[in-house]
Amino acid sequence: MTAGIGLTVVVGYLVTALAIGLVAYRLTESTAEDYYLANRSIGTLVLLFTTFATLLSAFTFFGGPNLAYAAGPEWLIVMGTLDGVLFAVLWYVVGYKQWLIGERNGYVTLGEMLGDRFGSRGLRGLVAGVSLLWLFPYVMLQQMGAGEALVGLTGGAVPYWGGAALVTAFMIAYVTLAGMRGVAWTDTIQGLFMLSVVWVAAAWVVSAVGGVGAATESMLAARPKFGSFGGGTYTPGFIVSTAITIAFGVTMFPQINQRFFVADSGAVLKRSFALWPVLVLLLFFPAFMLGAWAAGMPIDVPEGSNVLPVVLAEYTPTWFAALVIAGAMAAMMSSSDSMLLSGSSYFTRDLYRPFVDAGVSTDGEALLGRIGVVLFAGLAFLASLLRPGTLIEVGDTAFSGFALLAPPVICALYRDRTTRDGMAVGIAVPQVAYLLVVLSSVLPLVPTLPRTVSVAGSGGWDVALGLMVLSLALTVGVSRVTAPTAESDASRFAVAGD
Amino acid sequence: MAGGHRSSSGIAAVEQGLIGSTPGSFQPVRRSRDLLWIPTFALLVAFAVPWPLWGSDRVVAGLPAWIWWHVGWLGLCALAFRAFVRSGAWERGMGIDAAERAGEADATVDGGDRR
Repeated sequence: MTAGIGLTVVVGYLVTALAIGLVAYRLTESTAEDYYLANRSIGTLVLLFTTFATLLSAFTFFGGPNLAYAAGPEWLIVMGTLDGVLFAVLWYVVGYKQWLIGERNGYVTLGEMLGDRFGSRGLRGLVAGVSLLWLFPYVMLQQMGAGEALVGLTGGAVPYWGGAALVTAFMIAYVTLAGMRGVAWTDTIQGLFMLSVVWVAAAWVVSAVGGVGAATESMLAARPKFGSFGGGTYTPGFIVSTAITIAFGVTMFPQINQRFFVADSGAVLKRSFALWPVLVLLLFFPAFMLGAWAAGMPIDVPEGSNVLPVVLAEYTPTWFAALVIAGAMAAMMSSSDSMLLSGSSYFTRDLYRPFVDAGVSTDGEALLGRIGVVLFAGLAFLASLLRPGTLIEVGDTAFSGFALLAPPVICALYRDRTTRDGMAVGIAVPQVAYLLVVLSSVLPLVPTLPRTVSVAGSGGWDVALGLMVLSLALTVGVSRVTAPTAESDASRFAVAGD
Repeated sequence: MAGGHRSSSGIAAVEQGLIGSTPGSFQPVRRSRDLLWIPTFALLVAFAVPWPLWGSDRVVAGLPAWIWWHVGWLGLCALAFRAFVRSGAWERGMGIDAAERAGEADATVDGGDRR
């Protein structure tokens, strides 16, 4: 019975979201610019929420509370710092600059922008390829999160693969039908919905356990270490390297990076920038604190399941718990749609068109993009069945992979002296190195390479952080010793003509 | 769009090592004051993590004090970001004349501009 209510609410919610996408589809022109960028006509509220919605992922709703539950509320500090502050600064340094450049030259993807600047098809393909590579685990993460969420909600009546398959099917249906305009619409609605519902959930649970003070008290009684800042998992090395790799990684995520091209005016980016820290805090605070407080609640979180659904099931009515889970799943679906959509534009514009068939028609390109989405989501679904790590581990791997792209891109944006070869080496070498580290932990045949390096007294530092430094050094160093190619044109990135 | 009076400044100029080498129409005071945003941002990022409260387990108003620090700090960041945007440093940092872009919708900057 309970499982029935839960499942009904979830499926009903997903169908509603799909209906909204279909309405948006009716308004969609069939050009690539509209499918991918909604004709660059996204206003403040929509841009803000469509970027915000990409935070509404399994990483936030399930991974975050799980970590706070297991290791303490410091996760709020890590995520708040990286997303609320560091990402906001990068929003300006990378995002606004890209917007200015994109507005002048009509770019749709990061690869296109760099390929044009350096006159290099290979660089364009490399950037797209690297991006698609790391997008894969992140899409997979959403499917894992959805699978686990439905197991939790229905008490196992819906198996893990069933939940993952359900969200995959909706993802594909949605993204192949709607395009950026549809995704932006539902992102906004879901962003507002989830922001409100997560506060209602926190208020509900907190009042049930006797208020904020009581919740903190029982958390401290159960886990005294949670009250003091730092310690355990949260070493300085962990905090700094996680914050830096994720924040830089986020700017290179296809769906976020593409958002930098969609604003209809610079004013939109400005307003969003100033609101960002508060918005981020409004989302993370209730979600992660619920996870941390749960440590002091008399609940039983089974191995491999998420803490948030368990807390909701314990303290709120089934329909409400189902609504939150449905909202979270829909939001995850929406983020995945953004990812798949951006991924498909990377694929068609930066890989297929330049390397396979330059003369593909607009219709052909749209069709190809949709086929690409189905394949990509399908493969990610299969991989999600293997459950190669926790949500945080899988997410962090993807973020770090993207983070390695950031230093060369920032060099390209700000240093006219950057050369094509500098970019190629600065991207390729750290990527290969990081891929080896990641694969060595998955493949049983090779010895596992360490993911962190311990520095006396400050805990383990992510190797990705070191590789970011390497990537910066290689980009600058190789640029210094190589000459710009004849095809490259630094003035393509000039934003203030004089 | 009279060319010639806009020049690189702020972050763009710092990155390119151009400070002081591109005389523009900005008042020098204003331009050097804009540079203060760089350490300001660095400080805002660095202390969003409540390092001075490392190891502290004081509970204030139902939450660990270091959580309040973080909440307050992000509020401060929002205010600082607002001031950054309002002062026009947002545009100057990219070498754009604030007055020209202020209030514009989506006019593409082209014409006689260097490309």
